[in-house]
Amino acid sequence: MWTYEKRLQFPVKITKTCPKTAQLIISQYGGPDGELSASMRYLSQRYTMPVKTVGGLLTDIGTEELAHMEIICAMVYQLTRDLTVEQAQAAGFDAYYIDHTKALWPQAAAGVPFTSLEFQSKGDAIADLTEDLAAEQKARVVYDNLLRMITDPEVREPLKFLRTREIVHFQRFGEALEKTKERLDSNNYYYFNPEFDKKFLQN
Amino acid sequence: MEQQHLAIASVPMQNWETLYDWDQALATGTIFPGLNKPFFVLEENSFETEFKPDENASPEQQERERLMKEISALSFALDDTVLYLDTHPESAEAMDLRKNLIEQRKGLLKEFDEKFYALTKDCIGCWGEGPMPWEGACI
Repeated sequence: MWTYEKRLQFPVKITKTCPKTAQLIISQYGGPDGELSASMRYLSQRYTMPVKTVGGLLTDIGTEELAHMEIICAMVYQLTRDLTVEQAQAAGFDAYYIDHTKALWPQAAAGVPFTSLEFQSKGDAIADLTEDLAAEQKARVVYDNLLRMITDPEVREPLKFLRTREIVHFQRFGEALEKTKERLDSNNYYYFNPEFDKKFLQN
Repeated sequence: MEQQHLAIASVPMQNWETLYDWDQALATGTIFPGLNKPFFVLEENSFETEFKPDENASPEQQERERLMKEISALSFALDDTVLYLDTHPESAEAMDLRKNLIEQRKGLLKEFDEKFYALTKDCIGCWGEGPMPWEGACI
């Protein structure tokens, strides 16, 4: 069960139309390292996690990623809500406009549609948590790259916030991996699959 | 942390520390100064644009924005505390803070509900009232 709270986790108030910026930022909606991908990754992986608290962490971070997706979408929306056809053409936003007008649709910056092939749910806690650590790093790099290119402070503030969240989540997934390792054989972490061969888990 | 082992990733467990105040935490993206690792292209001052109510707005909207800002900062502090607790369930400091934040948040949500509109399904005010969050009308 989920409930909706009618506010953004971080406020977004963008007053200047900029389809070019929207086209870059939309990658964090539907791109390979985007927030949608992050949320679906964690919310898919959590069911079979052998350590209960790790399942809890994946739920909480997966939920927060949905709130981040909403922040990104709010930014794209506000950057394009007063868009004219001329502005769309001048900024190279015309191809997107043809298919979606000003609506939100999950895609990468280069137009590749969102796909679940962007993430894994492997059924092995070490593999999945290591993927999660990498996912946070990849998303952090996207925010780095966006912050290099975008100068509007109204856009930068939420991006800075989201970038820090990637680092915080990395720390938490690292701790979750430590918690998982406590239940494994430290002489050989790969002796069994902690999600499949649960009888070997230590208390 | 236990001793290090070959062929597996290790991240040290975080220790509790003195936290940012909630406004700075929201502006930064964490309540923990130890997890604030800015990118070099970012300006020194993390408060580029502080959340200020629009001075041209009506007194009602200014009050709404002030209260919303307080709710955002407090709720975010709770979000970050809960993630810490997920991996540090034994932390008494985090537990106390969580309890405290939940109480304060309840009060603020009730105040916002009574003065303006419902933010959650537990609020009595009309669910359909107020601007949608993505409109940027009420930061």
